[in-house]
Amino acid sequence: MALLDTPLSFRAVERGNVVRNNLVVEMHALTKIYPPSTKAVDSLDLGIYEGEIFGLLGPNGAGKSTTIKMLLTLIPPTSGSIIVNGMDPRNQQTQVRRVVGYVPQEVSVDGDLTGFENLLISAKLYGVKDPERSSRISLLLKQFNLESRANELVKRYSGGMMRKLEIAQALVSQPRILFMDEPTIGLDPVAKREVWRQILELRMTMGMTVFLSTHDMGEADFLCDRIAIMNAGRIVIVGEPGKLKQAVGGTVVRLRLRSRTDAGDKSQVVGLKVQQSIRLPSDLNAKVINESHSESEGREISIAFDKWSDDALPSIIRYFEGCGEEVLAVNASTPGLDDVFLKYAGLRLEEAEKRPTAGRRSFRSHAR
Amino acid sequence: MRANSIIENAAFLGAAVTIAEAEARKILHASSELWIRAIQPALWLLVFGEALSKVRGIVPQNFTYLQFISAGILAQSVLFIAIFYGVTLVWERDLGLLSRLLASPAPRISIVLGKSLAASIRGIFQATIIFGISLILGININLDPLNVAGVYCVVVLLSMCFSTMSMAIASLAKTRERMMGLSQVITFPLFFASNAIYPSAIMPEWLRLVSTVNPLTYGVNALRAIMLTGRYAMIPTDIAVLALYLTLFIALATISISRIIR
Repeated sequence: MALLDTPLSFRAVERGNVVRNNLVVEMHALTKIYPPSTKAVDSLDLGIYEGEIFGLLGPNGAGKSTTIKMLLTLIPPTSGSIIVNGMDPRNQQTQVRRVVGYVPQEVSVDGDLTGFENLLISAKLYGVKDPERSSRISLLLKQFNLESRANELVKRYSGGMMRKLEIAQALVSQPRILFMDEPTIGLDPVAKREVWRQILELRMTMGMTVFLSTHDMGEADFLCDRIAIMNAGRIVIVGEPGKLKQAVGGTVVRLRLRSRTDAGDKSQVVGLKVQQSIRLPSDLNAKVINESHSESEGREISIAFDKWSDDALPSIIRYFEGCGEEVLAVNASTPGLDDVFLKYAGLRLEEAEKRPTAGRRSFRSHAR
Repeated sequence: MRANSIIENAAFLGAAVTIAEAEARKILHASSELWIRAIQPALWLLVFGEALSKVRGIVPQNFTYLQFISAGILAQSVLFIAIFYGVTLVWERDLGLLSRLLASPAPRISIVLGKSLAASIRGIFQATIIFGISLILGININLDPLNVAGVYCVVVLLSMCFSTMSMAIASLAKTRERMMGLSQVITFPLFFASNAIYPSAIMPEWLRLVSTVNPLTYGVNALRAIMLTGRYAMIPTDIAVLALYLTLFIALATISISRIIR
């Protein structure tokens, strides 16, 4: 639950575990054309490393789901090649299906069955035999906090619980690669964080490779080791979220300072002299990029941070206060993935989001 | 090589049984639905059957009209239930259930077989209901254990036949509304162009021709022979025709089920 409290250093260690030398998913010139001529996916070249959380980011209709479905053997590509765990989904379909798990964007648990039964049927379909089956199911129910509701029909579950059950269901076969299409779409912030926590834990405990698609930039930023931005069927850029944002520009902090004066002699300035150059402590990883001074406004300084951390602002304020300066105003701006998207795809995700899409996760009543 | 193919076969049947199990569990959770489904055939027998039994000359003289239509109404209610499996399939496609199922290693044919087996479970329940109503109304039909078993076998065949037919159509319809419409469009001609509620003898020539290619006719023939007339000579032919249709529909549904999510 305390996901956002997770110290950044801890997450950095977590990310350090990914050794990028073994590709588990490869796509070469992958193309899907829906008749007559809609290019849903356009010559994709992409590789996913073992054990990483990879995010495919883009607006609705960018081709994310089509890409995932091709990797899952559900849609045959028009041209190009795919390798999943060393196999070709086109002629080794069953083998590929055995090693992948899939959490579709839509509801993929049966509302007319209980939570336990959904897991049971899934385990059976993947040929997991007892006693292994029972132990896996009870472990998953426990891990996803679903034990108390396990024997209740899933249609009475909340959206968050349903999503957790879907992930549990995909894990019952212990896949090597887990594909998730929009894992937190339609979830409230609390449920969303709970799902994020589970995904991070999966990678921590099982070293599983996770390939997810999302149009939630916060999600991509928080979860993914690397992301690819996709627009109109093409990959626009691939990289680590942090580096991509840096490429747009690091965090810039603007401060307005006023030098303190001596209590006795008002003309005696105790702070930094106007002409004195500012030398920031090296552990801040920051440099002054702009300075201006005026009698009325005081001194304005812009500082760029290469590496941003939560304590950067307090430290910089402490530093100037320590120099005898009064900090009048602080303003920090961080380029988000939205800025990255803006730079590389030429449109904002929010704008692209406005394209119509049906409500994808709903349980409408159905007649048999 | 041989051991390998045995394992493959076991997996293929196992997956079908698992899918049928899921459906069976759903039926258990909502068993009231089964009883609601039983209302329709009961009405046909009680209202339609009773009313038309006053009209003479529809059926051969040695049988009552109620005797005659009991097999027809059973076949009809099996048809009505089985035809909805295509609608269910489209529904499961609209959710992510079908994509997830197709991403599992279960062979497509097992998915089709599993769902058609589930239709059979419902069909068997309908048959039991018809037996019950017949007892209550005093409709004289053959209730020898072997005959009852025979009826169940034909019902399984019919359920599988129509549910796979419906699943084969599902990929053409793609939306639930259209699939519902298509189901209605198919169900009634199948029903009326069969000998379910009147004998082929009183049909106009063109309708009789249609009824000879209608799988429901063969189902009704077999059921009527087992439940009523005891003329078993044509049963092998009826079963063979149904089996042929079933094979065709299984093949079409297996192709269709992969295409439906594209």
